[in-house]
Amino acid sequence: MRKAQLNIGLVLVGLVILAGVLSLLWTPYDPIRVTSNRLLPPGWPHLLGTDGMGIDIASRLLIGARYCLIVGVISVGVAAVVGVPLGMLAGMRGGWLDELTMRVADIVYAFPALLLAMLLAAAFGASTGTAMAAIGIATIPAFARIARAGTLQVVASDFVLAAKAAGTSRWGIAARHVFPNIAPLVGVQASVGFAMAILAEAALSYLGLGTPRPTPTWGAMLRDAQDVWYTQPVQALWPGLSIALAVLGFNLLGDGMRDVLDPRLREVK
Amino acid sequence: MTLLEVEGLSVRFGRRRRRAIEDVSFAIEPSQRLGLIGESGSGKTVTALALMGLLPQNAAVGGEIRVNAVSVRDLDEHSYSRLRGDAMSMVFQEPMTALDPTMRVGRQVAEALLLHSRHQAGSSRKSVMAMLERVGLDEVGRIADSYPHQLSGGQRQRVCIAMALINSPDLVICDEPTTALDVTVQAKVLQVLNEVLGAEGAACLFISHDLAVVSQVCDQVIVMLDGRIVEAGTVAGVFSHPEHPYTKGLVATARLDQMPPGERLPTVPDFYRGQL
Amino acid sequence: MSILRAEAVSRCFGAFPALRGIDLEVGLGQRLGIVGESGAGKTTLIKLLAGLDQPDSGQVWFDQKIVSGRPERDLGFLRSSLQIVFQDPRSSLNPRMRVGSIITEPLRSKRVRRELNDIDQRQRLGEVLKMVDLPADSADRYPHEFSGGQRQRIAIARALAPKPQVLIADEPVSSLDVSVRAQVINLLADLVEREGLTLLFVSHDLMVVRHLCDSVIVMRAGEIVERGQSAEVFEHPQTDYTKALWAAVPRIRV
Repeated sequence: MRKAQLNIGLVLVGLVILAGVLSLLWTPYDPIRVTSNRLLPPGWPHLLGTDGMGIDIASRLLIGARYCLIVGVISVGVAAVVGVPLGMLAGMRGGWLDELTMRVADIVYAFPALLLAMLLAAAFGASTGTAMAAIGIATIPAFARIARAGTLQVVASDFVLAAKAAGTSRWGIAARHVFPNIAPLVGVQASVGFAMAILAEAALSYLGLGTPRPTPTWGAMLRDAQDVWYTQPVQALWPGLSIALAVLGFNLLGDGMRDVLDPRLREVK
Repeated sequence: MTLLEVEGLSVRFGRRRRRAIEDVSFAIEPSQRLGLIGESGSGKTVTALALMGLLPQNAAVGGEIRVNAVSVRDLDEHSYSRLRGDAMSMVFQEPMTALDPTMRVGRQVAEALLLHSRHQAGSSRKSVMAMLERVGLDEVGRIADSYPHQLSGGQRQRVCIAMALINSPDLVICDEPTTALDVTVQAKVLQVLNEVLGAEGAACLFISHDLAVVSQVCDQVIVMLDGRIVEAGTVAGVFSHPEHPYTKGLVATARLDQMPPGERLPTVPDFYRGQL
Repeated sequence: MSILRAEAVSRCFGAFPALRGIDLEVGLGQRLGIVGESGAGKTTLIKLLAGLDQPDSGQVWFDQKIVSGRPERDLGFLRSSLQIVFQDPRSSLNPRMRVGSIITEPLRSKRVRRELNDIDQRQRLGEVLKMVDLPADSADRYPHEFSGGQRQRIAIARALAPKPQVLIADEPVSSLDVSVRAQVINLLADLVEREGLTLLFVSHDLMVVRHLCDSVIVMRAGEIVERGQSAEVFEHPQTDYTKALWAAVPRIRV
C-alpha cells in the first residue's frame, strides 16, 4: 500500500517533469501565436483542441508544466533555505531566540499569502518572480517549524550529548548530527510544499497576480477557459486536471517518502 | 487438566519466511510458574505474542496451542479477544508505553474489568481500588485519578499487573516485566507479583533474560536459543546442573555474586561458540 | 593527587533539587562506583563533572583547572581527557553515521586536536577497534547492523579514541542482556587496567560495581549518603538505604 502510494506519486511527478523538459525542446505548435482555428474540440491534429485564441492546448499545457516546476523548485527552495536553518537555530539555541523566531513565524503564517502576492505585485509588477517570492516567503514558517520540532528531538538524544562530550562544536553538531536526522522530515515537507506551491501559483495566475500573458501557465489557462465556460467546458478540464494530478503526485510522493524514510521502519528488517 | 499446551509451534515472518521460532513445545499446569529464558532475538517475545494471538499479519504460524484443552488456533478474532484479558493476560516490559497516556489509570483498570464482566460501572470502582491495593500501591484514590506520566516506573508497572490480574486470569504472561526498572523497584515488583499470583492461584509464563529474576518467581524453566528450546527442567535442576553448553554459559555469567571482585568474568562464548 | 574535584556542587531543575551540596574527590587511577536509584542525581552529577551542564552553585575542577562556569570553547582540555560511555547504545550512536566517523568524531573537533598534537585518525581508528575486539571492517557499517553488546563496544571505542585519562560510564550495561553484560564488564576492566584509566562507573546494580570498582559513593535524593572502599561498603553497609540497595540485587535462588 505504502509502496503503491510512493510509486503513483513518482509516476505523476515524473510526468510533470517530463512534460516540462520536453517543452524546452519541442511543442506541437507555437504556444503563443494567435491563429484563426479557435475553440476546436479535441481531435487531430490538435490533440486537446485549441483555445479561444486559436492556440494549441497541448502545447500550452507542456509550457505550463515547465512554469509550474520552476515556481515549485524556486519557492520551495527559498522557503527551505531560509526556514530550515532558522528552525535549527531556534531549536538548538532555545531561549529568547527560539521564542522570537517562532512568534515571527506565527505572524508570517497568519499573514495571507494572497495579500503578500498582491503587495509584491503592486510594488514590482505582477511576474513569475513576485509569485515565487510570495509563495516562498509564506511557506518559510512551515519549514522553520518542522525543522525546529525535528531539531528539538535530535538535540535531546544521547548521541548529541556524546558529540558534545567529544568536543564537537555547535556547527559540527548541526551539520553532522542534526541536519542528517531531520533531512527526511524536510524532504517530506518539501514535497508537500511543492504541491501547495503549484496550487498557489495557479491561483495567483488565475487572479492575474502571477506570470503575465502571454506565457501560458495552468492558472492562466483556467482563467481563459472561464470566458467560454458555458459553451466549451472541456477547455477548463485540461489545466484543471493537470493541476489536480500534479498536486496529487507531489502529495503522494511526500506521504510515500515519509514512510520509506522513517528509520524506525527501516531498522526492523 | 493441563492449562496450556504448546506443540511444535513455529512462526515465520514476511515473504522471505524468516524463521523466528521453530518446533517450540511446552506445557503449563494450573498455577504453575514457567520461566522462559533467552537473549534478545531468541524468540521469547514472539512466543508470547503467538500465545496471545497478537502477532502481526505477516506472521505465518504453525503447530498447536491449546488452552484448557481447546485449540485456540481455530478461534476467530472475536472469540480470541474474549479470551485475552480474561483467561490469559499479559504484562509488558515498558509500563509507560503499555498504558494509554491520555486516560486516568483507574479508568484503564476499570475498562479491563468491564470488558470481560457484567460489573456495573458504579460497582467497578470498588473492585479497581481493591486490586490497586493488592498490588501494593498506597493512596489508591490518588493513583487511580492520575495519568500514567504522573506515576513512577514502579507504580506504573504495578498498575499494569493490576490490569492483568483484575479478571482473575488462569494464565499471566509477563514479558520482561522488570527490565526497565531499578533494582530496588524490581525487587518490590517481583514481590508483589509473587504475592498476587499466589493469592489468585494463577499460572505464569515469565519471560526474562535475567536468570536471577526468573529464579525468584518460577519453579520450572525453559531456555531458548535462536528460536528453539535447548533445555527444560526445574529451576533448581537447570540452574545447578545445566546440560546444554549455552545454558552452562548463561548460568556462569549470572553468578556475578560468586566471583571474587576484579577477576575476569566467565562469558557465554567461553562455553558455547554457536551463532550468538 | 586528585584529578576530578567537586566542591559543594548544587543543581536544581525548576523547584526540584537534583544535587544538594556534593563534595567529591577522585584520585588518578581510582575506580569509583556511583550507585543509587533513578532520580538520586547520579546522571546530573556526572554531567557536571564532564562540563556538559553547569552547577547552580559550587565548583568543579579537573586536574587543577576549573571546569564550572567556563564557556565551551575553553574546555578543549576536558574534551580530550574525559570521555563518557552512555547507557543505551541504541540512542547514543547517530543512526545516520558510519561507525568509522562515529568513533573518530572526538578527533575531528578543533579544540580537541589542539590538545592531541594532530593524531592520525585512520591509525587511531584501527587501534581502538582492535582494543574493543571489533573487526576492522566495522568502520564502514552503520550502527543498526550491530547487536546491543557490539554497539556498546563502538561507544567505548569512541570514548577511547582521544586517549582520555578519565572514563565515565553511565549505566553502560543496564540495557544489555545479562549474558552480554559479562563481556562488556571484562572489556572495561581490561581497558582500565591496560590504559591506566580513571573510571567513574554509574550503576544501580551494586553487584557490578562491587566487581569493577575499588571505591563507591551511594547517592540518594541529591546527596551522598555513604562512601568508602567497595568491599567495606558492601560488606558492612552503614545506612539502611545502602542495606536496602544491596538486598535488592537479584541473586539466583535455587
